[in-house]
Amino acid sequence: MSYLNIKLKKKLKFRLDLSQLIPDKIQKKKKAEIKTLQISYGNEKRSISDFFSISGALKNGIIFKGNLSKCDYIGNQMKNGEIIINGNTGNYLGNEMCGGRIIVNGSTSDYAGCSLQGGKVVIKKNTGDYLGSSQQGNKVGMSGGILLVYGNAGIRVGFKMRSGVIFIKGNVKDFLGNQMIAGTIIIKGKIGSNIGLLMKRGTIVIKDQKFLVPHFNYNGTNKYIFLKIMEFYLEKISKEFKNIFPSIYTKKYLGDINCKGMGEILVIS
Amino acid sequence: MIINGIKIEKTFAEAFPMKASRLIITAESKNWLKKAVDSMTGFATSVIACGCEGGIEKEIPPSKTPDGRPGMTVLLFAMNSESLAKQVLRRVGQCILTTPTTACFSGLETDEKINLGNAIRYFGDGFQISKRINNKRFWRIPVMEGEFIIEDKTSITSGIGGGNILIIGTSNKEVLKAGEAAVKEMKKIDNIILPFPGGIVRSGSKVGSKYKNLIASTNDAYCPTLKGITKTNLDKDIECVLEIVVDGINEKDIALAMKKGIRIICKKFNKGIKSISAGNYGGKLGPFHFHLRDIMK
Repeated sequence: MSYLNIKLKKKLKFRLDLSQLIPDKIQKKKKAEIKTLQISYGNEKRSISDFFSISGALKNGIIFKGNLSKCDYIGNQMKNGEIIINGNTGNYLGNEMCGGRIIVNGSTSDYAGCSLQGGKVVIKKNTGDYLGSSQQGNKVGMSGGILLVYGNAGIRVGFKMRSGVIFIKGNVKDFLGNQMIAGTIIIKGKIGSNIGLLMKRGTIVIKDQKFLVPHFNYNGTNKYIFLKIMEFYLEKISKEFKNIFPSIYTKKYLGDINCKGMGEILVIS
Repeated sequence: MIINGIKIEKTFAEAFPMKASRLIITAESKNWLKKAVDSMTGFATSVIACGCEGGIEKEIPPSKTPDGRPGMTVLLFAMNSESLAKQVLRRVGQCILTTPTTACFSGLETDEKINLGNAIRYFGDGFQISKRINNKRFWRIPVMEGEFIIEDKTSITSGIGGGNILIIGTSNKEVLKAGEAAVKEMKKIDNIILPFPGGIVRSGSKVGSKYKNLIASTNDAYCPTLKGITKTNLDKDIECVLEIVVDGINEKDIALAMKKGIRIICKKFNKGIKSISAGNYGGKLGPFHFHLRDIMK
């Protein structure tokens, strides 16, 4: 296994745009060329070598090291390959990503998996707001791929989500699945208020807990076989998903009734 | 060629190209699963009047089905893609959708796709839900029992219909017994089905008839009760002929199934059996010729 190691040399004062550093874009470049790639630092253009030391070879992917919490757009529009981040990252991780894999051994800021179209993003700790959402002003959010978060997530997870799967092991804050169009969100922990607000379609699966959904209609309990199909598929991707649905007998709420939505909240007991 | 006292006739089974599709049906229990697939493949013995030929290919353990429940694969064969697509929808719509607890999935991946849930979803009257899992679309159609899950599309592939063997013997009872044993053995082969009830057909046909409207009629050359008045292929002491028809996705598995069937008859059920033959139409019906003696080599 050989990776291109990119290590942050100094503490950043301004935000850094790392959208250039994806395996697709740099795989044919020599190391010297990579070092001179121009990236945005605040409002000026600087070389990568001003901030990072680069070693190794890009065969399997890229490993980022250091506190990258001010580095945005890592894995932007990535199509294949792998990025491993040993530390925290900034905003827009995996923005418009179509394929490949990103593993963050730390936390991320906001908009992780924003407009994600395919591939897999794994965040080992927490993530900020707008996970798997659309870019502000766009009509459609995440439209494919898988987002797996081991920790907690902020507000508006899956905002305008169109397709794909979001799985969060921890808790989420308010407005989960806000304006969701389709896709599946699975939350193992607790949820905040206003779940599924203006939700059109799609599925949110939560564990049994106290929550208020006046904008949803209760539709009784039943068995949902598709959850098993989903579990088998997710199990193949990661062992983390093994037995995520211990029971497929769930309560079902349909809404948001305010926008004649057919979105569903499934509550597993 | 004589094996264990049974003559293997120097002839061939003549088969023809068809289109095939495989579906995976699952259900909560084996009981309901069997009811669903039996109903779906029940009236699917011959393309002559059923629209398609169909049968159960094999059982699948829960660990290998898409939803972790008991499953069976079903193969359906028709003369062309259009009629196969029509038959698949009719049979799934009337037999699988209607049976409690069942679900329906595609069991084949080729470039030629036909609608499955994509057409049946309209039964949901707008309440149906689409779910995309692993680049496949599934439809969740609300029914009075809960939800019916069905995959959006299934694939079709080239198939072969009309592989066959004729078991010729001096006793009705022994021929039937030999046929049953052969069917049991042949069913162990993947990619094939035996479309007739219990895998055996007693009314083998010839092409055409003295009646203008009939495209097929009784194969009088093999009818033991007409030995004295027709150009018979049977010896005087023959009392019964039964046929096993084999449809399959490829030539290799059809030939293997025929071989296994003949072998078990010759090995263990040779009492009362005089010969094994096969039905053909002089090479005019189809391009696939399964020569019995070559198969048994």
